[in-house]
Amino acid sequence: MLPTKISKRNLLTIGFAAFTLAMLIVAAFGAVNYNRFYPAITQIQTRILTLQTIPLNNIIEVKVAFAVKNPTDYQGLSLSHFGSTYSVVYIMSPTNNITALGGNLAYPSMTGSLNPGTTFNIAVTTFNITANPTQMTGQQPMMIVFFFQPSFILSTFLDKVTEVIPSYECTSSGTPALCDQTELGLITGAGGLGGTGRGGG
Amino acid sequence: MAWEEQVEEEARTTAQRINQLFASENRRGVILIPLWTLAMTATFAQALFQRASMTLFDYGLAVAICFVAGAIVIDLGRALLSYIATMALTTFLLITLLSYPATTTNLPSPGNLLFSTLWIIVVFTTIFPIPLIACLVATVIGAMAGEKYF
Repeated sequence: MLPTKISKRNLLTIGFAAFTLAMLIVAAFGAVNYNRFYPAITQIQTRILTLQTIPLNNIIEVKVAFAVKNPTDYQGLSLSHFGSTYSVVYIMSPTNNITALGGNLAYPSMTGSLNPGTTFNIAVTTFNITANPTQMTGQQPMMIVFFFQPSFILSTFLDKVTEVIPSYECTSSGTPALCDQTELGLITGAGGLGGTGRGGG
Repeated sequence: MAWEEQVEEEARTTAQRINQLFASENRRGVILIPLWTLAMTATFAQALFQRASMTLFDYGLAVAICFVAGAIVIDLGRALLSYIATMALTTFLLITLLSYPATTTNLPSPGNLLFSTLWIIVVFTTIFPIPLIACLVATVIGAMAGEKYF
């Protein structure tokens, strides 16, 4: 009996199927990491590491340090352009608060890798607030509460098409605190789309 | 000797099955279009999953896939129709694959919608218009080459 031969065309089709399978395996590896991307950008943690207040006559020197952590398994995130604003609430009595508008905290330009499980410590920054918000009465506040709104650029594989900017809110009266993610901003290039998503963190 | 005969018999049976699988052009088309779609989707997806853009190598790979697929189809009209079906399915699959995780993750709204819109733009700018034309040309050349060599 003569052996049945496979034509060149059929062989090419089989080769094409094998190539397709190989490409699907390559794409599957990328897909697994990509599926971790969105949970990762919503779970990036920012916390107040230390918050020190040093009274100096009529002013209080405040030293604050933040830390950013990637608690997920996603690889390929890094941080740049960390910045924060602050405001202060003086608790004068259980029924009387005074809110003082703060300003921006100055940070040097920085970049840091956010590998899975790693924490990136932001340099300590210092600012001054008044120790006595009611100059007239001279009443000292019972407690001072600080509100910070840190944000940074999260470098991702999407950098060519958009910048991802998570924003947070942190409240502390001197103790370390975990910040809540409040916004996830997307800034795209010219002609693209952009916007911010506001919601729970 | 019996072992050699058994191997020969198995090879003959496999070859017959393969030839039956591609016995008609319609059957070949039914198998080839999904394969072509999956190959194109995987090529584009692996690049977009990693960089959100294609390198020249990725585009070269896509063009090569179209050339080989065209060569397998041979018939020019059938190749063009298969190409249109493949690219339509590839675009749909890519947008679905890229947008789905963004819509299912609890992203602060409207971030989830922005990501989906972003991926639609990325997919369209990645595929249209030059890569689409280049792959079309590669399919036509592939079909002509297939006609000559098969």
